Amino acid sequence: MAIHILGNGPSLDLFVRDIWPDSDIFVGCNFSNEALRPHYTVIVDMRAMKQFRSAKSKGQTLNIPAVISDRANKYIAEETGGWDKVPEGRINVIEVIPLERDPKVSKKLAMNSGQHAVVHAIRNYPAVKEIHIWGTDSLWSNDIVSATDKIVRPHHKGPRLRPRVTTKWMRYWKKILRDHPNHTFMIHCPEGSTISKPLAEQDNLKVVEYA
Amino acid sequence: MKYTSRDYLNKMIAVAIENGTISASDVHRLIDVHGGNDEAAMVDILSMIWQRKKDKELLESAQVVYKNFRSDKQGDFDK
Repeated sequence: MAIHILGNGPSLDLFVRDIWPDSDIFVGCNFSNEALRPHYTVIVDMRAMKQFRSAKSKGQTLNIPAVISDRANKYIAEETGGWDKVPEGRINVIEVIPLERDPKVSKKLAMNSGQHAVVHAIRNYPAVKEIHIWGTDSLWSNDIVSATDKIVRPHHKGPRLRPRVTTKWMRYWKKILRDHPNHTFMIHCPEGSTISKPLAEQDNLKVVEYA
Repeated sequence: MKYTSRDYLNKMIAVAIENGTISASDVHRLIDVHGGNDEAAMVDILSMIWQRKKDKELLESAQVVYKNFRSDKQGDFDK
């Protein structure tokens, strides 16, 4: 049995849902692709939450159960007029989780939704020790482009190069790997991808390359 | 009170009825829609709790039942 974290980067194309048993745990991030049948999706980004508040004709509907951060909840509940402004059926929240951050890693930046998804799944399925990470291109690239961008940043064009952000995310990944030495993390990536050295040096990280 | 013969679903329904989130007619609808798929019914109850009450603590009380159910189910897969 394994946990699959489904990021939204271009390499998510490497993931073929039907070859994995339904007994595995599939966890999406933000506006995850419903066709991949994730059990739930994790949303920490306020920009994503904003989409549920938009007018009926423009807003997004998420048909996957959602685990949201308390920051995302606060954004809707306290900062943008309350949940009553969110049309019914737009989002099915099944859990509200604390925002994961570590001031030693970054004073401002919290973990991203993929990292929250990993930490949440590990806590909820303690017996499962194999974690597959898909569609997380920021592990080998500074381009943080994501399929969710089409929804939350519809006017953005070209790559989204954010080296400062990816450096901090990398530190969070390293922390996750160190905090869970008995888990094996399998990163699925295109052939020739170079995973950053501090991560690649961790014994519990395995890289699966695809031609 | 026994709402169904399925333990975890029964517990979850009891939590949601006690906190006033769902009614007997909701229970009938859930059983109609989901049949024997307890997990889908429980996920629906969780989202109803949030949708109707927006109360993190209420949601957490039902989540405990859901997590126990998942953990038991996972144990079955591991056997």
